[in-house]
Amino acid sequence: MRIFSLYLTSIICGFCMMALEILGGRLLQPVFGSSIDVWAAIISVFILSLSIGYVVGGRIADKSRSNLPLAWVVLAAGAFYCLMTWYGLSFSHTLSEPIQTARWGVLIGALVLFLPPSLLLGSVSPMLVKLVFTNAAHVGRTTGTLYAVGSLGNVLGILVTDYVLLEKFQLTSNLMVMGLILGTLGLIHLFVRVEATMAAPAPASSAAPGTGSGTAATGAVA
Amino acid sequence: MSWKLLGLLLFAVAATLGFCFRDNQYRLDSKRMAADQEVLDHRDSAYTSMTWVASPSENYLQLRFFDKVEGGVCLHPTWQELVDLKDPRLAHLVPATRPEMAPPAKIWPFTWTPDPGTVSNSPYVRLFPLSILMNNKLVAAAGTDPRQANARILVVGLGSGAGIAVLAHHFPNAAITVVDIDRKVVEMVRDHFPLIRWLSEQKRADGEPRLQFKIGDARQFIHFHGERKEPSYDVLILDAYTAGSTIPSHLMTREFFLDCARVLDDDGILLANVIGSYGTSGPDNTIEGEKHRVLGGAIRSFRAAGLVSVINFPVLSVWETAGDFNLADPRNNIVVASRKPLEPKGAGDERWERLKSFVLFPEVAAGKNVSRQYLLRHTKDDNDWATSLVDASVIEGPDPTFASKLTPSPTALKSITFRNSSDKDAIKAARRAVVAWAQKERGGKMPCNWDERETDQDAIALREIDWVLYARETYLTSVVAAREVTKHGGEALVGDKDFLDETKAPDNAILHDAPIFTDQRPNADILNR
Repeated sequence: MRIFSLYLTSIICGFCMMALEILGGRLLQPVFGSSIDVWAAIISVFILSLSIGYVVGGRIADKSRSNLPLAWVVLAAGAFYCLMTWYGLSFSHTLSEPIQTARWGVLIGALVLFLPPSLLLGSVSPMLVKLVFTNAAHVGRTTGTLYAVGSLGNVLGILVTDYVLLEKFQLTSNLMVMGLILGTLGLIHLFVRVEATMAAPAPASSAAPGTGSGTAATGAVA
Repeated sequence: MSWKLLGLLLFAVAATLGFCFRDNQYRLDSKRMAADQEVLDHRDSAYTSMTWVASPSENYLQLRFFDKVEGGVCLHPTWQELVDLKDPRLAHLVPATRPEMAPPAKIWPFTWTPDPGTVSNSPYVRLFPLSILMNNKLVAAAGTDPRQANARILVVGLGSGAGIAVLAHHFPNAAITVVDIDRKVVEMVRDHFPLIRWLSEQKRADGEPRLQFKIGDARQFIHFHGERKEPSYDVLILDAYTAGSTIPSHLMTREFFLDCARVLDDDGILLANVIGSYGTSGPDNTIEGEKHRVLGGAIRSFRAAGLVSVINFPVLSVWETAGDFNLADPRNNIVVASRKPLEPKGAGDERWERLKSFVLFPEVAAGKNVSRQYLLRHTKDDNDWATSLVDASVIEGPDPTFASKLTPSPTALKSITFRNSSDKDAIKAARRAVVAWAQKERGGKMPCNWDERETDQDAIALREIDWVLYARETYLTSVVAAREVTKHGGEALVGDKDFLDETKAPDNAILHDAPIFTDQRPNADILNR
């Protein structure tokens, strides 16, 4: 049950993150058009925030022994989704004309709109690794399964948004519902405590540098 | 525990704010737009977000994609008004029974629903008939009246359906196939444009549908045309765009045009709407100038695909004339291409006389479908239109002589006139009238920038448009411009030699650094901004 709920967290976060990538096009297209530049900007911003999110999430995971930080991160991401129904389109429209017409302008739009929520969701994976992890002998299998589950959520997020959500519901409704789902998930984590079951983390100096998941794993082995 | 409750509270606040201030998918109240715009319906699809917007004062029904106007059709004359003319030349538009239409969205405030006719309010779609008129084989087969041509037409990209309506008006025997990637666009047009819905249910005498829709990517549809063993087309019209005036890059390559040439009859005409410019703007060829590469690239790519004879029909603004227009401005261009020569064979050339004598909407009298609207301007800021446009009755209601205080200022066209005034009292009176109207009719909601607190608009203008006359005039201007093939022919624009070289165009061309777009280097997507 515990493992299942953590996997479910991973799937939901993965789903919402990639759904935002597809929906994000809708926040930028009215102003920036739909050329290849728009998609290049969106994809690069999401990958960038994943990379930052992994580092930050890994560090936080090392310092914590429960799901409390995870709860705050998911809750904050949910809040961004809800608020984006308000400021998303308006922000694109209020950018000045030189920014709207410049080729790099869309990068600025994508950075401001998508970096905060996707960075938060990106930091979820390393935190989950720490919580799912039970046995040093199974470190590869555990992290592998967790990443597979999260990526499955990504795939579903892209396809379901493309084939169903975009056609059936308004942009703002999609964002709002996802925000509420993320918020509820965050609140559950806030009020239902999940302890990390691994041994106490080793001193930070012995932790190998690298990605969040790597740090968490080596910390536990030590 | 208190931290957790704070978290709950903060999230609840965020969710409530987001819900209460959630954005509309479309924007109506902006300058340069009519103040009385209303939404007939809005839908989203996987490809786009579309809104039918109507303005009674400016006489249009437009389908907008991501808030961008992609063409529209006049509300008047309505289809019923065309039928009521009882003109034998319009017998092909008289329905036995009218089609059942979808109801408008709840937000639509009027008790009537639009029943637009065929007069379009965007100039470029009115040039679509050129494709049939320039096809000598079609016209010869039709005998004395080119309107009777049995044209097989393939149109890529539906948009609002305004171009289809123009073709259907003038060519009763046309069999039109429209390919569009988005099922929802076709549904949207069929649900709210009665004439188009009716046409799609009609058959020609020989059993061919007068209008049919194919859902799919045009590249695939055209590529696999040969396998379906269908007859070739007399006319192919390319008008597919995504948001932001961008042609999908795979529909703007030499390889695609080779496929296009294959589905065209030997005398077939390809007609493409290309948003681009003739030249670079700014002294050092700054970024806006990239638009000219799209136009030049399209022309070179057509020629590289074997459609060697190319003539461009530029769509001019009301301030421009055929002999004098701004080469740097991006504009709609109707590029016509064919395997067979299109150039006029000297003065009195039969084909070009046919183009010139063609009258758009000849059954509809001029002077009846006129829109009159007021707006405020910044004269210092390049004559910027600073407000939305309000119907003349709003200001002339309280003061019927208001228009006579303004000074006429002619345009290049008879169908559009402006009257201006910088008189402060006149501006003040106009503002007062608009405020009173907004309070009485709109529950106090002010149209864009008409508020009395705003003071930097220093001139008022009245714009009058006669839509039918406007259609005829803009058509003729483009034809007269294109007739000068030394300026608008393919050879003049992109050079007369080496048009197979992908890397560079010859120096003697006007659009001298136009590339050939290929599947390997389909640059249109990036450049067309």
